[in-house]
Amino acid sequence: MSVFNHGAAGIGNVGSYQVSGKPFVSGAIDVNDATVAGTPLEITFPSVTRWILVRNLDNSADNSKTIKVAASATGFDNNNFFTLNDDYSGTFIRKSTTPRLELKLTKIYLTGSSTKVDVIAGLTNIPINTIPDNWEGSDGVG
Amino acid sequence: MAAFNYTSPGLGNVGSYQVSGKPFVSGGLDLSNQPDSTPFVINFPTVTRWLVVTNHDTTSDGDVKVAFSEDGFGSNNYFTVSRDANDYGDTMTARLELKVTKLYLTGTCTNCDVIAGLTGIDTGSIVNNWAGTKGVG
Repeated sequence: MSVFNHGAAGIGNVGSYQVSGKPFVSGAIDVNDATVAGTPLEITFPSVTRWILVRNLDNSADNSKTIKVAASATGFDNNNFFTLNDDYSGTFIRKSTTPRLELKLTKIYLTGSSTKVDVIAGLTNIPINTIPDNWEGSDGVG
Repeated sequence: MAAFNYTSPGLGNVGSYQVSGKPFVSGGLDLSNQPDSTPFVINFPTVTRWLVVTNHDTTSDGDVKVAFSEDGFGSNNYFTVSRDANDYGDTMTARLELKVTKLYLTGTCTNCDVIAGLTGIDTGSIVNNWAGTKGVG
């Protein structure tokens, strides 16, 4: 008897990005400790993301607890990264949370001196092998 | 006579996430007696389309931790919503478009809110609220 099995959704499957995501949280990350040797911290998602959000909850008086976020390890060398300030200086509030970034990724990379960072993501069911190398080498990723 | 009955939509039913949600609010929550080992659990009546957590606490130590399983607190699969320091802190999450059936809260916050938009999808379509999966704990 023949059996019909649905295959996994592909990277361009619209419905996978229209439904809400499966939760993924990596919280209270000490980026300063994790990157002390100069190697960025790599977070690998179990499936392709529908969106991500990064928060820097550390605080300082001189904005010294910032983090940098990239989609590839080499992105830090090519200016293909963005910076997230720490939270509070005592006189004004800094922008310490990204908006909900609707990006399809399998990894993100963090460096910096913050000791308290949260990464929250909504996941699709799309397998990570549909994005070889997490866009590494492409323009804007590095 | 034959009868036609609509079945409940499934977890991947796109239309359920395209329409606006049915409201769910649990406000004024006092988590001051909720250690990580005994989290406060919110059971949504149906699968969520999105959720927002707000921390109104202004005390010196009034953070709230949010996870999607009880084990999430022990495995760093949680995020923190800081207290409202000096009344101008960043105390509200973005609208998190996540499909879940439960939310676990701990911390020392004495006044926090959970707001959600609900789908019509039965909670039985998500086994154990994703507990045990990577990123949930």
